[in-house]
Amino acid sequence: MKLYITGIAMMLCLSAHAQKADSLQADTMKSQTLRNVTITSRRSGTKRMGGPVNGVSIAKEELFKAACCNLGESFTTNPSVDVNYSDAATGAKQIKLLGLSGTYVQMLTENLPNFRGAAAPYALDYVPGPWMKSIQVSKGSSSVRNGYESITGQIDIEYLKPEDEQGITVNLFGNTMGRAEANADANVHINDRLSTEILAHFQNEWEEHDQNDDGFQDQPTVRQWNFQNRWKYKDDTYIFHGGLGFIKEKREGGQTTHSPHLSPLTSHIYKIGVETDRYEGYMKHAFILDPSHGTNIALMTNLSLHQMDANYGHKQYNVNEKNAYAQLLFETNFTTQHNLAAGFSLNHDYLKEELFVSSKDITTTKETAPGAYLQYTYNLDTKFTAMAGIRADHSNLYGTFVTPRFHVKYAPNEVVSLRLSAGKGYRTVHALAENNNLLASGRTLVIDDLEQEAAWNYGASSSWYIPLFGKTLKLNAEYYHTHFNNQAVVDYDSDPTKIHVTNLDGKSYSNTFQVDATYPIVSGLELTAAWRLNDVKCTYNGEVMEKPLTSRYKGLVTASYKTPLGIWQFDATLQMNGGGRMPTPYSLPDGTPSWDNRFGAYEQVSAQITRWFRHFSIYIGGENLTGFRQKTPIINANDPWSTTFDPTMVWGPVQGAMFYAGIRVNFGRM
Amino acid sequence: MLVSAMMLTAMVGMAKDIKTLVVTTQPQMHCASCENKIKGNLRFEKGVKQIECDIPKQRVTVTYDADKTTPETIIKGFEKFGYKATKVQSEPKNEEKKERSEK
Repeated sequence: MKLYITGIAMMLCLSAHAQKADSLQADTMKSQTLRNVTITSRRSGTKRMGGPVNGVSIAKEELFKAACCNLGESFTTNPSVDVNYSDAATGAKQIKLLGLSGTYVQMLTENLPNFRGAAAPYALDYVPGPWMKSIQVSKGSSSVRNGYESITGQIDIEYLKPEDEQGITVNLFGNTMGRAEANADANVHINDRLSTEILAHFQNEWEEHDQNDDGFQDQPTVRQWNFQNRWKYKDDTYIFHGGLGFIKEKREGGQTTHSPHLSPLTSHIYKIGVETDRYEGYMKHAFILDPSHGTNIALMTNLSLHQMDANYGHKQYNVNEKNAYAQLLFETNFTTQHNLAAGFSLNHDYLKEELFVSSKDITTTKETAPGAYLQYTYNLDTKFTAMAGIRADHSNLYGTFVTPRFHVKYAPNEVVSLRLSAGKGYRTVHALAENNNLLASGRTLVIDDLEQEAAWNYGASSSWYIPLFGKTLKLNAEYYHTHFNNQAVVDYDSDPTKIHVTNLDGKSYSNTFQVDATYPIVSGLELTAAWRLNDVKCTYNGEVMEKPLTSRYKGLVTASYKTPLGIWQFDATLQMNGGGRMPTPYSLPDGTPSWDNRFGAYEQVSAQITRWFRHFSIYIGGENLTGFRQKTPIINANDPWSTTFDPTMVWGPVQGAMFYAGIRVNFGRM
Repeated sequence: MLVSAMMLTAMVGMAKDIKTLVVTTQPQMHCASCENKIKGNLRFEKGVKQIECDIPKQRVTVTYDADKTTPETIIKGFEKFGYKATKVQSEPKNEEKKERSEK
């Protein structure tokens, strides 16, 4: 056995030395010398962020490893972020970070808060994959600059830039589930200072699939038009970014056929329809006062209008949401060691919600929250960085509140770094807008008068860059603890006929521990393995219980191989999702429980092959290749008008294996 | 049978006439972006096996299969993405150097 292992190790070493460096990598950028050891590696698609906040930057190279049709599909190869369906009927998806719901992750586009409230359930479909240049995922309490809302972290999406190399790229995609997509980005440099860009997207998911024959579409059909026009102006003392965008989406789901045992005369087919119109605009003005000290003043503003008209069976929900955000900030480096950032912000949310269930119920919510912040960063030769921030905000609904946050990074050498963080976050809950997909359930949705959510987050992480056989082994270990002072708890357990959104009465916390390792086994072949344990508990009806529909662990193995000139690329990902608790079942008339107490672990495999040509690339791949599907994602699908009909008991994939192919074509770009 | 096939493959592989071409470029390389542009485009030229860029020395070393392409074709390949390449020297491979010194 010993001999066998030694043999494998020797073979790996020999292979590593025998292979020449990947010619496609930039030789100047990816070589570093650590105490006379020169390390050269293939450019990694995911890079750890350098500052005191623990996070990773997911570059385009990483997004090319899978279909990544939209933001929600961009985390297939990422061990930290989980993306799950919120229910089995509407196609709504949510991110989970540190084992907690996506509402605790602050979503940013170009460093501006976005996709709030009513946009949250379907927001992961609102950012087409080919539009993205990179995604920054920060864990734990983030900087105070972007507000008080991030509790488990931030996800910041950077779109392709107007100032990027001129040209047009077109991406066409199709899959075996009857989905076709067309994406285009085009930019032009009008002069040395001014550039503009157009981003366009159209998708059509037209086929109705019912793989488990429960009479319901596994996924809604979706038609989406998405468009943006972005501008950049830059001279020596002034930088402007601005843009306008709109999204039009129509999704239709529900029953494919009438329930056989129900009379067509007395009962209708259960249908779901969601129509959305969203308009966005943003502007950023930066005045550079002293380039030598990085002194600048900036004004950043964002405006969005979101109109959604939805019907879930007989229930109708319309929401009109308007959000305006502005931030005025000042930043300077007094010396290379001392940085100060200070700013004012103003956030305004307006929601008019109309709910028709048994009667018409109209609610209007207005919240205005002005705030101010101060953030000081001390940087000692990049070995020690400490960042302390505090902000005070005043909400017309919840009064004045203070948000302290602290981060420290210690990197005594280039091999190891240690990060610690602690901070508080708050969130105003728009329970119906953020969870309107729960109206698809036959249970009654009961929403109490909710307080502002408040939570503390503490984190510790350590990254290691270990020279090993002439390459770098990247190791990372991290632990995060989040505990809520107040939380809007979605309670499925207390009453099987209700989904009760109520204020936390007791404990609610999350502990997550993650380790991940990346190593280029041979030149061009990079392996990543990761493991995360989730311990998420909350008090339901006076009892501290495991959060339902949340996997206890997640394992991930990815392998990515590029041929020496990077002309072929092969990627494969294995995800292992742990089991978890189901909401408390009720007894059926025959005495059996409505569902099992727990759901089991399952695996998913995805793979993709890409062939690069000078002006285009072709990719083919498959997702969920193990074909695993949750057997009964919709409870009592036979009787959608009953109180026991429930598509929200989703913990796994609702569709089997899917295959896809696509082409990206460049015009004008070299 | 399998051994024969492997030997045949190895012989064919050994028979390849691998050479290197060293060029300077106009415009000059300034950063990793320039380097990526050169590598990202030149890799699609027939016969190119490896590309190495040395920005401080302003050299691009291209390893190629001389049975499939020529230095002139490779230099023309630079023009397709807006660069002009000038041959500096053509260094023999280490094995060839060794063979010559042994002779």
